Amino acid sequence: MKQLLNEAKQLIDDGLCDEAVELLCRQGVPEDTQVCELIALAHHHRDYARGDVFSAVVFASRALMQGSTNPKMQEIINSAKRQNKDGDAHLTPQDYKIGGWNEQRDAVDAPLRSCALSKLKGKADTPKDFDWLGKNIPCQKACPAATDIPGYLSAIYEGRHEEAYMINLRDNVFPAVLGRVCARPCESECRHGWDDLGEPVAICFSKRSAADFKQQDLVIMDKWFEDSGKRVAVVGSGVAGLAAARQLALLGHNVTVYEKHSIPGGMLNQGIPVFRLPRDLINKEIEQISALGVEIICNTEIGKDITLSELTGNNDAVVMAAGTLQPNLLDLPGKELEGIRHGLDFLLEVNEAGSTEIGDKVVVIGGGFTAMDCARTARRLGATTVQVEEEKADKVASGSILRIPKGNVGVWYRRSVDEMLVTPGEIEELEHEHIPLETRVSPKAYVGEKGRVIAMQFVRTELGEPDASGRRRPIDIAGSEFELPVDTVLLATGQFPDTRWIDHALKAELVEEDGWLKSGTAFSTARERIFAAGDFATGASSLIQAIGHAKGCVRAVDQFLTGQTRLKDFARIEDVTDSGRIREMDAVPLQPMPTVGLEERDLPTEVEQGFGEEASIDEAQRCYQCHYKYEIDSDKCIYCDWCVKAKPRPECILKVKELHHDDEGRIVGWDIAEKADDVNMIWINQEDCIRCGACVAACPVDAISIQKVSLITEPVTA
Amino acid sequence: MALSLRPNIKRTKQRQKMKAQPGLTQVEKDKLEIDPDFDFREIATRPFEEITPNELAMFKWSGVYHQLQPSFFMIRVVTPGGRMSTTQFDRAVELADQYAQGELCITTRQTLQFHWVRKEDIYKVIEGMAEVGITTKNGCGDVPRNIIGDSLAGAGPEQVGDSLKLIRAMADDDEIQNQRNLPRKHKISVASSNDALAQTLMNCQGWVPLERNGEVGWKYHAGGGLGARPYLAKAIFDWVPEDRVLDVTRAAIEAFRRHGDRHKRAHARLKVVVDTMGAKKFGDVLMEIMKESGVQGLDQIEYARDSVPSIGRMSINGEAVIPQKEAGRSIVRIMISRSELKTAESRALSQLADELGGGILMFTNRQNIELHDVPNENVDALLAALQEAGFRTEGHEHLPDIVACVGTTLCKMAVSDSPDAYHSLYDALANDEKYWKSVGTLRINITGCPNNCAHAWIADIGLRGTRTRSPDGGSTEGYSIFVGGKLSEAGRIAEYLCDAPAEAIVPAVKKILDTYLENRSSEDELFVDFYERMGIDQFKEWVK
Repeated sequence: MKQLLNEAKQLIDDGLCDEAVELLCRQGVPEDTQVCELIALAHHHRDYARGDVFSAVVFASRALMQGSTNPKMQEIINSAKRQNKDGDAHLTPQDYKIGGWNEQRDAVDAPLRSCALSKLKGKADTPKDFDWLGKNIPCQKACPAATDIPGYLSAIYEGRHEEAYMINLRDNVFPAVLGRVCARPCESECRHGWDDLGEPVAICFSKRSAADFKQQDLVIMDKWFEDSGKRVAVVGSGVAGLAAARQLALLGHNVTVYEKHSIPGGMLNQGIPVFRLPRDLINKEIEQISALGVEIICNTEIGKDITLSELTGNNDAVVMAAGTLQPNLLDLPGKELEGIRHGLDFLLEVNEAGSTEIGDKVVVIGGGFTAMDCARTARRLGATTVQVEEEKADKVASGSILRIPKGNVGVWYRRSVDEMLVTPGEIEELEHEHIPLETRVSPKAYVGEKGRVIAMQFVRTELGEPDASGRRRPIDIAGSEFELPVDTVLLATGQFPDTRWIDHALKAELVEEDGWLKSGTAFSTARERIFAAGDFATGASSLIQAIGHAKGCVRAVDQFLTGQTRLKDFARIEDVTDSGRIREMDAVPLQPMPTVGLEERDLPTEVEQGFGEEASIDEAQRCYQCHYKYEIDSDKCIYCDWCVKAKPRPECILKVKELHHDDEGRIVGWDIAEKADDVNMIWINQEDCIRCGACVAACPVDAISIQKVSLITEPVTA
Repeated sequence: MALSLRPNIKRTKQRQKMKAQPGLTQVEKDKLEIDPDFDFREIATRPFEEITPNELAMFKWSGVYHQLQPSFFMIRVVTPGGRMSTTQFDRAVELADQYAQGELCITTRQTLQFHWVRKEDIYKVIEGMAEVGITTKNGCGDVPRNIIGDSLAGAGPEQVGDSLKLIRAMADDDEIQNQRNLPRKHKISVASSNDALAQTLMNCQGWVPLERNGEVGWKYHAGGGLGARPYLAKAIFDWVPEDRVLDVTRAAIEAFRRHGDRHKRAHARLKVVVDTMGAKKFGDVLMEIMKESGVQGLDQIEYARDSVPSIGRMSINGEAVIPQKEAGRSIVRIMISRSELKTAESRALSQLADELGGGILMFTNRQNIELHDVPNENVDALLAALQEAGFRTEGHEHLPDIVACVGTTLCKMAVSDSPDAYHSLYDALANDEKYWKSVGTLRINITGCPNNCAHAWIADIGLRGTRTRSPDGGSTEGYSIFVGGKLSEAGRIAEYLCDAPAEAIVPAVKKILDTYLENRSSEDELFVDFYERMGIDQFKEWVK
């Protein structure tokens, strides 16, 4: 007994009230005077949890009744008595200004600093508002084209694929294309993919389903402005050039796009294999741009057929969107040998001619989009050795990858899988298509015989500190050199902008000695009428990055042409009564993308078949709908904690003593309150909120509002 | 911005499609997967950390609630109609003395609760009560709860028919009592006469007797319920022959089982089902269910001509002694301070009930006790003995008769310390007899949280726990004050008046009452009528 009491005392001193009481109760019903004294002291000592005061009084009273002489017992009882003040009745009407889901707010400035946004409703545009959008809708923030992802996923969920397509069309110009081949930076940021929350939503594939299930064949957007009378030339008809052209056309400008190849589309047509991107889709989405009055002139090479200077003279502005067509060739011994070629040329040839010569032992060097496409294309090209699995012989399409021996095409990359810049799922597809991937191997030399490459020398690497690209730098491991027999080497080792076509008169002003633009990634150049968009400015990147850059560039062009800022961003805040989500939707599993079997995989057959309509809706319902903002009106809130009890995440609803703000009024931190009297507000930490709505369902006084906050871009006139 | 609470707003957007969505919420899964009839002898030996939170929540089906203080439990027994013999009560008192810190608590659903019971002692209390014929099964949880009526049942001078008989039949009916997986809790009231005392309008099902040509039948109401979003019951049937009452009751439970929203617990109760369907449709659903089960004589059931109820006014207004219908006997009414009975008080009371009363205790929904079947010749002696033992018999249905829940003292859901508010008001106002008598009939109910266990929604003055944000930091415990609630006629949910910090509730209540005293049309105008005449806006104006 004595030991028990001592242990309990120790626990009380350590601030472990519940543990102390549990220990004291272990011996039996707490009735011993000393036990009662200690239970009273344990609660009195903590004194901040609900019920502590009462428990202390109950057990102190019992101890006293049983003859306790501990003076603390009476003290506990006395201190617990609340003294009622006389006089003023303090009858205050509840005065709240934000309200719950069943109230409508006015479009006025936020009444409290604790409000998440600068306005209660309507359009807001302070740094606080944009900061909220960026932190709370991480997918949209991650999208260089700022695609309204929750917006179109909710449209799909409601079966409005047409509207979902329209949202994408507005934001990223090529929904059907990007729905297949986007690098999808959004998905790695998706809240659903955070630790313990499952898998990210298949945002990209959902975009595709919007395109697959829309009814309308061609979707032509309404222009934002009347004809401006300004002429703009765009050099290059890749995604950047076309996106720029589309935006310029919507702004009312007269746009001509120049393309040196016979068909527009740039990398879409020349780089990406048909089995990933059917060509009719590209044509259709380009047609939607032409329909806005954009003229696309093919087979016309700037610098050859017409100079940039001339173009600049004939137009009010020129946008250079010529992509990155200059391959980065490895400067290795034996680089002049036959059988070594750049992957982009290889893909271009296959995409234009439908075939090319390729050896039996193909090595692809690199770890990016191009490397993946080269390997999977090479895998599909015919070879002399045919090894067909017997039972599948009948079903195998001519040119199927099953006709080619396993392992004859491989990808070799000097860093690890983590550093690879590829579309999610592509490494799995490599494996699925029996293409070996060897990482942490760096090429050192080509070995030739009779002028042809017959082998490659590699050295194994280990990863060091991150380099300028943020990826870990490969370091050669001495003594690990080895040789691999090859007959075709495809170099997917990057490419640069080719600026050689810029005529002499402008070169000094625009181009560095190393061939890169002097203006770097900026939209404008030293020459005021000349702008740069997409990979041509940023270096090789993703389609969506190029589109995003082009959209930004167009704003600069328009500003130059009109002298006004005619597109303005806002956070649009709307009242909503119900998000339509319930917590159980979070448990819906990621919908699998159906693909064609290996036996059908040839050059023209699209591998990914797209979601069925039902699966597209099931997948879309997984989206947390991060554009909803749940906010507690602290003046309507009665601090019952029921939302805190119902919350799904440890940090999503907090009992806050004080919020910290920066100079712009943004909420940058908080202090947690421990005692009930210190709780100034029960606050939804929206960055950790997964929009389940459990708090709204739990709130007994409807103090939680739901609002939809969307980033919108609107044409404005002076 | 409108300040009034709008409890009846319906969620608008109902999405049709929800295919890949798993069907059940966690609570619903637990209800299917966990057997609610726990072996509490096994629980006694199992380490606490090995009891899952899901199991802990399912203890409720056996009347066992995890208390705010994690080492202790609350146990609620089931006493249909609120009656207990002294033998049963004595056992409760002994068990409380041994295992529950010597205290019993009377609930607003006419039964008893033990607090401070250790996990190891739960089975001792349950088995001990079972030995005297009292169960804890269905004490809490998503089940039909303790069936209540009014405290005059079986004794009151105005009673029609035999409500206790029906209550017992329902309590003994397997079909009703074995419904262990309802969408939410389910509450039934059977009145002994058309009297608001039985709280018909705030129960899921409410039966009111009436007599026609010498035959007793029952008027049926459904869809009442308080909680955070209060609803008053609608009249469904004007006449149900007595021998069809059980059938209708069972059918309503079945209708609830079928139509209650299991996705949203806050919207799961029968009140929402009835509100959504409307009285007529709900009546149709009941008829359909009874047809399915082959119930005969449905043509004798008459639909309500008007779904708006017409409950009689409270028949008692402060009497300490009420003559029973049965000649020569009386009801003696005792006010229990804050519903708490210490062992010594309980023993004294029980002894008096045996010696001078009829050995019967009746728990009231105002958390008091009535002794029934007291021979008239003993009444004076009993009153004197009660007074000597420190019990109060004066002030029922008046200011001293305050109802309060346990609040933050013991309950996990509470926001405010309602017992403290009770004592503040009681100490300040209950002993000023002149004052409270001048105020007249008045019910003050203090509830610690929006669950409204202490029924703030239907009181003349209802206090509901809240905290108020202080602009300078922190927050203050207080109460939202509601006025004008009633359960008579069509009933009325009390309307929000204002907030007051906990420290100022005495002056706050006094201000409201003084305003009433100054402005009432005559001494006969009850607070409830005065409120009806003046309206909430006038009240708000006064208290500004």
